[in-house]
Order: sequence, then structure tokens, then C-alpha cells
Amino acid sequence: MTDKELCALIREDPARGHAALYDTYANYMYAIIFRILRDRGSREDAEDCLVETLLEIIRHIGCIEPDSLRAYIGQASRNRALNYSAALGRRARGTVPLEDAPEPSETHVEEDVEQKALQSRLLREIEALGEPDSTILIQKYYYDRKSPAWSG
Amino acid sequence: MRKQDIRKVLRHLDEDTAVRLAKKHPGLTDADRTRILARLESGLAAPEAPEEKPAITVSRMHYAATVAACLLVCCGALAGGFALSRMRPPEQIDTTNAVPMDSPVHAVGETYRLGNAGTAVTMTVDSAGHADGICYAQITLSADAPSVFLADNLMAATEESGGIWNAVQPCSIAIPEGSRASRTGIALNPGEPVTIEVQYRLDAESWMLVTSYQTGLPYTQAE
Repeated sequence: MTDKELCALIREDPARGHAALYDTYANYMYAIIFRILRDRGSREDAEDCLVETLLEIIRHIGCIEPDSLRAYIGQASRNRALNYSAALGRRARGTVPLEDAPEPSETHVEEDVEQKALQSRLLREIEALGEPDSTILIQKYYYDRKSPAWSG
Repeated sequence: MRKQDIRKVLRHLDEDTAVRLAKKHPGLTDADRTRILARLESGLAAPEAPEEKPAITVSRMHYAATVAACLLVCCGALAGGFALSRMRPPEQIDTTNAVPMDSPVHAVGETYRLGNAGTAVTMTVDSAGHADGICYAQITLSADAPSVFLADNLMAATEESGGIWNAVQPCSIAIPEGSRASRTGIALNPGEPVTIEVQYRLDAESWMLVTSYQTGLPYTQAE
């Protein structure tokens, strides 16, 4: 289904359209949101953020260009997750957490490159294990899921 | 590799890698799908609730540090000559050119001067263009005084979003005297007034001043 067809379906048959929107983009949105919220929030926070972002997209579907749908969804997910992260930080400390602001990347280029290389290698090694081990490792160590949550 | 090392390495995936990873290892299960769709339909059936705008407050810890510093000075610390310059009471922001929250929006390209004469920071807001359906406002900050200016959390909000603040790019920018630094903000709805907020502190170690400045900006889609 193209994005144009998806937008049309959401307008014409909302129930099917919402399910199609979820099936097409939920994992993409969740990947963005979970990555931002995992340090400050729980899985429930990430799910709340996902639901709110989906609501925002559906409510504004008439204003979104179908050709830009993916970009809009990605940016909306990012923005809302950042808002959530800021709000979680404020609840924790009572103020905007300036201390946690990341340093400009120009000052940590070497560390960034080394970190990326290590991540790539680790992910390759995990995939090389094959199924179901690779799924278990990713779900357990990246998504922080307990075993029965994804095996069922 | 230990379990905590695996977690640590995977914790800092960049967005592209996280999205690629999710294609083969999605973070949502069938049970999540059922629950989220049910919540979605329930949310759409309910009236839209206005979101709470985040309040910007001065850290209580920083305020307490300010009070403690003033007491030390008052007790006649002789070594406060250097410490005084670092632990001065919070400055009053020069609001001569400041734009109140409810003021009319201003044209793109105007320059707003922040701070007092000794620690002036200039913020210039102009349009950067339009790509992939997303509208961007370019925000440029420059310091023209002998102090390091660190800006964090450039945020933007639009009227249509109910004034919800989007932390467009939480970051630290160190701007030594005479240099410039840019960060890009995002306006989701072209044609809507956008308020840009800059939170900043005076230098890397003096946390005495934490404040924000807001302006209005009518953003229109680039031709």
C-alpha cells in the first residue's frame, strides 16, 4: 500500500485505515521513540508516546502531504519523544535538566567512531548466532523485555 | 562480553541503526498491537485534551548555590575576587529588545539581543527552507562578549499544536567570543506562528543563570 492509498484509507475507512497505519509505521515509530526514551522512561512511557503520536498523525492526516508522510511521522515521533524525555527529566529533578545535555559531537569524534564500530560488530555477531538466539538477545538486551513477553 | 556491556553498547544506537534493527527485530508484539489499537480508538473517541506546557524553572539546587555564594561573599571571603566573578548573583536579562510571549509575531530575519552589555548574546532567526514536507527554521546564536555561552534545548512550539514545546534539538553549544553557532529548529505547520525558546547559561561552570527567551516567528513555507 502506498502512502497515498494509506492516507485515503484513513479518511474513507478509519478503522481499517488506523490498523493499516499501525501495521505500516508502528515499528518505525516505536524504534525512534524507544531509542529516545529508553534512558529516562519505561516501556509504558514509550507506548504512551506512540499512542499519542498516532493520535496526532490521524488528527492531522488531512494536512499531511502523502509524499511526505514518512518524514512527517518520523519527525513527529522524534519531537514527541523528546518532549516526553524532557518532561520525565523535569519530574525527576524539578527543573529542565541542562546537566544532561550532550556535548557537541565535534568533541567526541573518535569515541563516536569507535562506538559505532563496536555496535556494528556486536550486531553482526548477534545476527550470526541465528534464530532464535539473535531475537532473544535483541529483545532482552535492547528492548529490555523479559522472555515470556515476546515468546508468546 | 558481559551482559551489562552488551546493554551498554546497544543502549547508544543511532536512529538509523535502531530503525534498521526494528525491521528484523520489532519492539512490538501482537499483544501490543491489539492493546495499542484499542487505546487509539478510545483516544480518538474521546475529546482532545490540551497538553500541559512545560514550565521553565530555575533549579532549586542552583538557587540554593546562589544563596550560599552570596552568604560567603557577605562573610568577607578575601578570596572571592576570582570567585565573585564566577559566582555572581543572577543577572537581570536586558529586555529592551525582548519580545513578550503574547506579542505580535515578528518578521523572519530579525536579530534579538539577549543579556546585558557584558554578556550579550545575539539570536537571529530566519527561514532555512523546506524539505520532505518538514519546515525548518534556522536559529543562529553568536556571542560578542568575553564569555562562553552555552545554549541548551532550542525548542519550538506552534499555535496549532496548542503551544506544545518540541525540543527540537537538545544540545549544548559552546560559543566563544566572536564565533557563531547554528541549530535548526522545526516548525510542523507552515504559516503558523512559531515561538522559539532558548535556554542558556553564562559559562561552563557558573550555573547561576538559567533562563529563557522567547520570540514569535511567522514561519512560511519556502518558495
